[in-house]
Amino acid sequence: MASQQIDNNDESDGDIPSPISIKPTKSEAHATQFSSWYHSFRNIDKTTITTNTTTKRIRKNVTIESIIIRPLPTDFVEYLSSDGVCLPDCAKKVSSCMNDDASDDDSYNSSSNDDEDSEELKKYSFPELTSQIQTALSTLSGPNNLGIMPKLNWSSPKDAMWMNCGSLKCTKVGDIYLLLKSSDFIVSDLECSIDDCLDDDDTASVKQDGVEEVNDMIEGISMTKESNDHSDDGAAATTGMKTTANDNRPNSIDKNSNIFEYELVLRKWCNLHPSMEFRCFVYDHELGESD
Amino acid sequence: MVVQTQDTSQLTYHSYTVAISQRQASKFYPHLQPPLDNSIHPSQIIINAFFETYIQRRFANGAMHKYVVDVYLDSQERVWIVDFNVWSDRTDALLFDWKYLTELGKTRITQTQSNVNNNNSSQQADNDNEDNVQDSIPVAEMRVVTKDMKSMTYDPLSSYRGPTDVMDLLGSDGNYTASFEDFRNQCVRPSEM
Repeated sequence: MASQQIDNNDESDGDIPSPISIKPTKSEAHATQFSSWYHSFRNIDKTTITTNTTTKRIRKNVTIESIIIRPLPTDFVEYLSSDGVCLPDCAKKVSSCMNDDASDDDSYNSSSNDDEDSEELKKYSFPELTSQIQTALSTLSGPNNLGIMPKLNWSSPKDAMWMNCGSLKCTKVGDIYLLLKSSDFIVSDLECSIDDCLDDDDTASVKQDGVEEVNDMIEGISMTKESNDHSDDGAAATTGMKTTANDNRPNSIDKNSNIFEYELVLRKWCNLHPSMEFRCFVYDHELGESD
Repeated sequence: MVVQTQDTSQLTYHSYTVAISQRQASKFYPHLQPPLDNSIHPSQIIINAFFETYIQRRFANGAMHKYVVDVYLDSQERVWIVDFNVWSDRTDALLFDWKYLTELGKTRITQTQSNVNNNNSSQQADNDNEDNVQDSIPVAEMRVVTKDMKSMTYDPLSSYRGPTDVMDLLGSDGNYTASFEDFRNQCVRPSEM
């Protein structure tokens, strides 16, 4: 069964998506970026947990320790999107090029003698970011330098693992730059993430069947509820309600688009056994009104 | 989605795991094979309990209708969240495909909806029919690579691999290079190597 093939038949820019194309909304994209969810699952506030019969004890942490560097310098984002694979001047050493006996070198400055080669390439250097990454690396990977893995808001540079000894594990700042710079997945995070999403208000019009029905239903219910609640208050109050609703809308959109910033996520390296990773597809159903 | 605005307080949503796929979709693991008696996969029970306790009402404050979450099950049967992804074909459907997943979501909505209606008509005073509904939720469809798929699978990242020569060059003693830049220079000027 060749069930894992993905139809990437990219839709043209038209408004009508092909049957397979499922575009996320901006709020979905926002909710799934790392910094939006990480803090809900580290140092968990136990009052937010509803225990059930299967809960043995409430855990404090249910995700891997990580450090978020945000926002990222604009020239770093420009560097990641630029052509070629050239490490920034502040971090030239990478593990994949190291002999064992040379691996303890802490200096980032190695002479580069590629002047004639790099005439066309803009030189980049991010001393501040590099030192932030170095601090995070020391914090997360401990005295034995067990390593960390990098990602941006959504994606990790899995496609570039071959550049780094077949792994996402980084023990040097240069490894992180190398992986990020070599990855197409990272570039796609930079280029098509938020802009390619549906506005939350647009969803109803571009919905797939079924989902559309549910949304219609939701809207129907909420409208009924609204008019019931305010039926006694007369026309003035209804107008007031509308104003509130209108005021809320731009706010919620602002919330989703204006806060957006690129982030570099550094996660403590864990030797996860690949067979025990699972992807869960979560879909809603609606239980009706509750008061 | 519609819910995240002022409607949130008026409606209750519950998201459920409709499908679970082995994350490394190109490999066969004997220890992941489903029970012979067709009972629910043990991993699925653990993941579901974790989902209900930690994720269901807490991810995006329960306001997100559909999403994808990657989890890891450790040797002590603890589940860890690895990542969240959007419900979209830009997320790899692994052993499923997005058309099927969308169908699956729709089917389950319909089923659940009719269950809610039944409950309402049979026990009218019972506003708190959540448990009844939960009992009636069909279990998620779980897929792992079974033996007969072995020859059909491929590594989705294989198209991103580089030539072995590169790694040989980087790693072998004779060609030790001090930096990636040096290595690149070797690549562009083979005659000078």
